[in-house]
Amino acid sequence: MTKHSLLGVVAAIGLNAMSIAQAADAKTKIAVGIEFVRQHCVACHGEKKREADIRLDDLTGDVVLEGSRWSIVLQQVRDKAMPPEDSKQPTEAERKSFIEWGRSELARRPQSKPNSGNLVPHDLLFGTAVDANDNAKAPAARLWRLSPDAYLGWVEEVARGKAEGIVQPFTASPDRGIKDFAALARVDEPTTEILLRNADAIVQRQTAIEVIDGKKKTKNDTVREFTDILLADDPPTRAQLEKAIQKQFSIAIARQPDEGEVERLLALYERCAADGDRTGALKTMLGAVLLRSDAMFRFEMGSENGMLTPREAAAAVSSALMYRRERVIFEAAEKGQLKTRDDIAQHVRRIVDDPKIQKPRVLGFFREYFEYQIATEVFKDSPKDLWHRPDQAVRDTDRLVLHIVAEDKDVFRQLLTTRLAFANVKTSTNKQTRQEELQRSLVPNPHNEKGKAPPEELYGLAEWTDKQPFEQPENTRLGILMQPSWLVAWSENFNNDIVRRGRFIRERLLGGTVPDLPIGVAAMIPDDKHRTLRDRVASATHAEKCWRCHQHMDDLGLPFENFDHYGRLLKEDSVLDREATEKNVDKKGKPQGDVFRSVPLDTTGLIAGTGDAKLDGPIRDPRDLVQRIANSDRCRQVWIRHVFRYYFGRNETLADAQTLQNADRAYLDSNGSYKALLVSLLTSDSFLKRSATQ
Amino acid sequence: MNSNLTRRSLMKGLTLGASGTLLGPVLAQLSAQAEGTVAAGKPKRFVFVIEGNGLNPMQIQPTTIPRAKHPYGQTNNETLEDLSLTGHELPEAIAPLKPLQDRLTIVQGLSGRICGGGHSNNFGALGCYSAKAGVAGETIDIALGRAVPGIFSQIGLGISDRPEHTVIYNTSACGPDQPAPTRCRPDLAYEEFFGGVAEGAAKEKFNQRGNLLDFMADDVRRVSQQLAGEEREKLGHYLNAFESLSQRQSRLNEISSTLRKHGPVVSDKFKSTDEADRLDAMFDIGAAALICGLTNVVTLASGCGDPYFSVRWKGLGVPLDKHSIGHGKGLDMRTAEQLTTTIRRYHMELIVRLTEKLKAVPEGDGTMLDNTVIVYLSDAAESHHSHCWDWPLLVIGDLGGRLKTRGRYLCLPRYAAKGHKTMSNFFLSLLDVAGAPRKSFGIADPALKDINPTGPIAELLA
Repeated sequence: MTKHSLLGVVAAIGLNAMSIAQAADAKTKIAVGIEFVRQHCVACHGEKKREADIRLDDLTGDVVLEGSRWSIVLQQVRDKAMPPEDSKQPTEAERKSFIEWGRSELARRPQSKPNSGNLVPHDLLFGTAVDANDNAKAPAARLWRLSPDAYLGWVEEVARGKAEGIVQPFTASPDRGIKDFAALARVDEPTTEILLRNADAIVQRQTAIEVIDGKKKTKNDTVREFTDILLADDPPTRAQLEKAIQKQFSIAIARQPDEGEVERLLALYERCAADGDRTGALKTMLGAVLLRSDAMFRFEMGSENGMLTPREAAAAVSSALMYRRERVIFEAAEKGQLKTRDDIAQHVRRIVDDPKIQKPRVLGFFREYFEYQIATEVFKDSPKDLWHRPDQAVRDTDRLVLHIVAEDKDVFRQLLTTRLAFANVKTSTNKQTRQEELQRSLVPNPHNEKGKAPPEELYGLAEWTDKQPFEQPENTRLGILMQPSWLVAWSENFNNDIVRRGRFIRERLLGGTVPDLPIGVAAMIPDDKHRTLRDRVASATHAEKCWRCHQHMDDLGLPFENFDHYGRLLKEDSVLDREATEKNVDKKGKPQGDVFRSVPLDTTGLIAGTGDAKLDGPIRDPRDLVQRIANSDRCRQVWIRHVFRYYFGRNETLADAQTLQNADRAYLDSNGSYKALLVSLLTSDSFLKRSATQ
Repeated sequence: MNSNLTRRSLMKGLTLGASGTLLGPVLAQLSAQAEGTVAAGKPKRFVFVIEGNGLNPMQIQPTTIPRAKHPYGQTNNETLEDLSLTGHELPEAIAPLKPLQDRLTIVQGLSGRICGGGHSNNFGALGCYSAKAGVAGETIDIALGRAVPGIFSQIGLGISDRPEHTVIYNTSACGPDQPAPTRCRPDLAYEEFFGGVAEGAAKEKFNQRGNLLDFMADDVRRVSQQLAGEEREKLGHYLNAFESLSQRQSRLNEISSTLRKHGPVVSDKFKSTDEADRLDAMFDIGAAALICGLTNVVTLASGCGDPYFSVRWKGLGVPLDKHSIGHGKGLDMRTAEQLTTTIRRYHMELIVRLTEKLKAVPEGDGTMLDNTVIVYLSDAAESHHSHCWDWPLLVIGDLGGRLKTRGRYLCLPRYAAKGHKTMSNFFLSLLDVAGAPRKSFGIADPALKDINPTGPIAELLA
């Protein structure tokens, strides 16, 4: 044996020894988890006695495969909802040890992410009626960092409407789907650098002074409590500084500082002013307030009775619907109101019902749920025969969504099946009548857009009309999923995206789950243009090992082959004509490009594996697909689960079953009112109550 | 700056003493460099000089090398053209680089279609993606800064079209939706990096920032202690950020003697309303930052990004805004091309001055310049209204012999031809020599999937 090979063996033994030790350690830890379940859960959740239809005796400790059940167990144990009070309780040490193991193991899978919300089985949330008196454990106290849009709204508050020059410091989740989840939001170092600069810029604006004719004067939109100090020749008094601190707290955090906070800020001022730069010291002190953790994060700690404090409730309701503070509800909190659910409900109804109050997060939900706005980010070559303007397509879909929400009747069904559409529309105010009028938004330039169909032709309009929304021709497009914006958003650079469209349907409407692409699998659809995309996808995904996951997606995405990847309605499919292409050469034999031939269009698909017999079955075309989904109770409830996630910033848990069922009932009782749904959710225990964290 | 001072003599004057632990890797690296003991891992420094409003490929094409052009102007070579620059004449716009001709490589024929083009590709120019919807990912300067970190992993300096801009976010990014700053006021940039050794207002501002960081760390810690579990952890990231920034501030204090000796000399140009002066001052700060070991990556962005590009170069006798020049407008009998040449030459002069400063500092058996590479390009690729078919650029320096960039003219095969390369391939080459190789950078151009241009550009690697 050579020296090198000997070293190799030694190294291998060392590695093996290490991995065996690690494996042994992991096994011991898994045993802890399984033993806990055996002792405290299996008696009621075993093979025969399956309380709530949950079986736990067959858990192996593989949290990747068994994630949904483990997360339910962990959550119940953490919240002390299980074992039931009349059963033998684990010791605090056992409970803690189990929670720690579960957290570390479950952290391996992204269950806190928005797209993994479906891990809690639908039937456990909606399958059995929840006792109205069931006192489910309130969700844990939490912090929720401002979203990117909420930060800009906050800047407008503190900078008095002028946010120019301020840079967005926060990052939205790069994943598709709902972006703003409380568990995901962090503030790291690069972000803090930007926050520091922004705070500096805001304070400069708040304290701007200019010299005119030798006299110091304040600029517009400055804060008097601050500039009074700067304009005076004498050093500020303690009272002046306190007043400035109070003012900045009021502007930035909408509350008054306590004594300790004032003292610490005054100490900061003194430290900075020691060099003699009082102006700089004041600005530093004011900037510190803008950087406080309770300015950048929403604290939901709850009060002694378990409800959010009045200020927390005001912030929660306000932030749920808009990016700036809703003045009236904050005033109510200041007056000591908002201590009861009825108090809060009154304000929720007022805000939801008042059309004059801008509520950008209403549209925001539909954008993140359907994600049609991503259309502008899908890189495509501009075709010769179409003026491809995804930005306008997104604006038109926005308008359609807002129209359906304003009508507020049978909203879910309308979103999926309406024949109405807006096409190439913008609004402008008529200077004479001062009325808002619809206008054609994009008007083709005869030179630049020569030979290109204008955007309205996508919707079947031969000529643009101001009678909008208009009804699209029968058997063409229904609802949001057939809007050009959605079709482009869920397409690739050169093709439709059958797989991801199917995944959308599976996860966001059927409430199913699809594992992420396994590591090491290169997902490639063959580029054989002589076959239809349907055939090419099938050839790539029908192998047994692929089909295990793709069976949940592909058949649901196939009906949308009724459209091309620019969102144009197709009557027939086309494939490369190899023979004609070979013959398509000039006199010198130089190829003159691909030649395509028509083939029959196949728009069929299949809904399967939903567990709902009314849903499952073959699909004729995309219109058949959306109509069947729109008629499904389960799909409506899955949609409501997503509404919950968006407004609550977290995934639903078993403890939210009552909230979700109440919301569904409120929606049905109101003939499908989105407003009623919102009021129900935003006045629920899940929204308004908090329990202490572990 | 006193060029008689060498890094060796500077380091001899420093004592690591009690603060040695805190001084960390930077001083250790400086010390090693000063002693010439870093031969195995010679320092690596990267400078990006990026200018707005496009760079016409002909403005860097040697007058003695004909360029095969496509009817629409883009590179039309079917194969790689690889020539020595020796004996060739540089065009007027980059003629000031003549003293550096043996360290210079002119690169033509790279594309960056994925960026989308227009007046500026903004972050996409250094990130290889379309930035039309915002910052989509990390840019190359930040990526390199992470590979060769200093106290600051990267320092962004530049000018915008308006003197009142203090900081803009236009060129560099740490990741998706995480733009990195371009400091646009030389006086404020000086305060940030050298304020600790300054006098008067700059010193006070520097100290106030230190006080604020300490206060915030204390304040966030106080709140954090009232929380438990995951929520405490969440706030922990914010706390860490302030502690880390505060520590960095302390490290600047610790190398104050270095900063004092090698910091830029503050003059009127630091507060000038003239763009040429401000950019000159920024080059001073960039050079000093490299020499003091504050960073190994400097990005100098001159009027980059939309809407910051329409600079008026009054100090160069070009009071017409660059946007108008880009649209072909001339001034005082001078054509747009001549005006652009005047502005470009000024950038070349600043690059030459930067190289002279680096050359004046001995390092190992050579100078700092030997271990530095400067890349010059435009964020708008090949024209004022770019399509990114071509992305002409200059490479100055060979990074301690790691790059084959000594006096070359390299024209890659045309777009979509076999062997064609993109900006992503060029940046992958830089990552490769930085010791942080990657398989991909930015977003691949889907229209090039047939030729699949992956990996670094082999012709550039030594």
